[in-house]
Amino acid sequence: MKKLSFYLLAFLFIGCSHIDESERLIYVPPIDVQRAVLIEDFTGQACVNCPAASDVILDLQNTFGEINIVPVAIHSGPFAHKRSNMSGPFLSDLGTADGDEFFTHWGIEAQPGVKINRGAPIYDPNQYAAAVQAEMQKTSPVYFEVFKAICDDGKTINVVIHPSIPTTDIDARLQVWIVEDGINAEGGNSTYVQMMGDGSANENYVHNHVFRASMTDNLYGDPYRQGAGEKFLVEFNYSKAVESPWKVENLSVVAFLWNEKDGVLCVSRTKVKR
Amino acid sequence: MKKIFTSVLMLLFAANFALAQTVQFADKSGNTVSDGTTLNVDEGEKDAFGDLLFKTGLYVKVATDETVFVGIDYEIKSMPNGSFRICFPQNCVNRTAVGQYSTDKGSFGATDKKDIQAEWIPEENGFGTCTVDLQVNRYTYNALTKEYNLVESGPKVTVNMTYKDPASVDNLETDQPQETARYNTAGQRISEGQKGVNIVKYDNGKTVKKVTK
Repeated sequence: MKKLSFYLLAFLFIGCSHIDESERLIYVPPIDVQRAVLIEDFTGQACVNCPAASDVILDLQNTFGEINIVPVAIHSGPFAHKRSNMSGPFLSDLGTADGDEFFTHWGIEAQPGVKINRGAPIYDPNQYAAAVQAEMQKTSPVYFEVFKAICDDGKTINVVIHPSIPTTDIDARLQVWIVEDGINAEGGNSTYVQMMGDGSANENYVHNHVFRASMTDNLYGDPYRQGAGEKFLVEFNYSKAVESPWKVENLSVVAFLWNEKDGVLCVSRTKVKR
Repeated sequence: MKKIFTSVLMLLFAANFALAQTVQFADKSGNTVSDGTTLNVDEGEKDAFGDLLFKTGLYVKVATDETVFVGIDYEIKSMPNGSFRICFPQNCVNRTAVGQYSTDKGSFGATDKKDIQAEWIPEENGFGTCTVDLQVNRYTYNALTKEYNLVESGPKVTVNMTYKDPASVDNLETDQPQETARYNTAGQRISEGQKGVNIVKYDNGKTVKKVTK
């Protein structure tokens, strides 16, 4: 009887050891990267949970390479700030009217929220990796054979894009964006403070790949149609004046072809050269 | 034998009781905010961007060694203007209308205590009271169906966030002491001023002789 009691009590007290999620080793199988992936990150300086999502995106870049992960931080929605509507001690202009238009157009409901290759919005950063890997394994029917961004006078950015001969018929739109890295406190009364997860205001936060402006005539891209195997003879040329307070040395250009049916077909990022 | 079974039953009961207390609201210091509590907040503060916020001051904590999934159901019962924001567990959401809402669910570790960053942002001079009910719940997650299942309805609290109009009569404060009693020189209480010397008592404890002509 004593033995029975012992086993009964032992059964009650012995359980499987719990291993916290963060401590579990997750096997990430090697994947064959077929194409780069665009991550549109709808973020904001007042969004306390956004820095954690940015860290997840940074981890993806470290894992798969910057060439394969092309994030764009679109400061938008209720948690972004524009200099014109601020009265506090920290002024910034990371928010844009175009960013708010994208935020509304795509029906973003919470921040951080991302669209990966123009798929449905994802609000849980734990789900980014799976979506990115799925998109990476798809093949792209077209890529950019020539993609140059030059600002030799420090005043105007000129972009030249020439797509490759596609393997299938393409009916898409070409979007071209200017993004900026390394944005942080610039002295005086203007800083780029970021609210953090613990509720503190980080005055030294560095904002990367921030959407600055669109270069195309149409905000959702210029039409691009090409038959399979057909050589495209015309180059796409875009120009945009450098605005204050952009720093040319920190600017890059992101270009991508997309349509409603397939999402992003191909994406690439190139640094603005002087 | 009976003793053993009684002990086992007691252990099971205790374990069950502990499970029922898994998710809790807390204040900044970690003190538990119990079920049914009503909090009144009438002090706002400006954030780094110059926005005036009235914070609920609520945190979520869990009383278990295991990682659990937690979410909050909340109802904005009244909001005269502005918006109500909540940043829990991994997103930030801005609500501009009254109604019932739920946050996403997220995993929570045993030692975690997270500010839910729930606050009312009234419009400029948008005086009034925003009332919100919040309930924290525990879920399990089915990885196959990718669905969360409610396993525990935790405590529910009400928060009234009031932006007081400084010009309102209710909020007027005066430094002038108020008269509480008046006497004549014979020490008899009088209801109003009389000619001659009046002895006037004030609510600040002072007594003053006043001459009325």
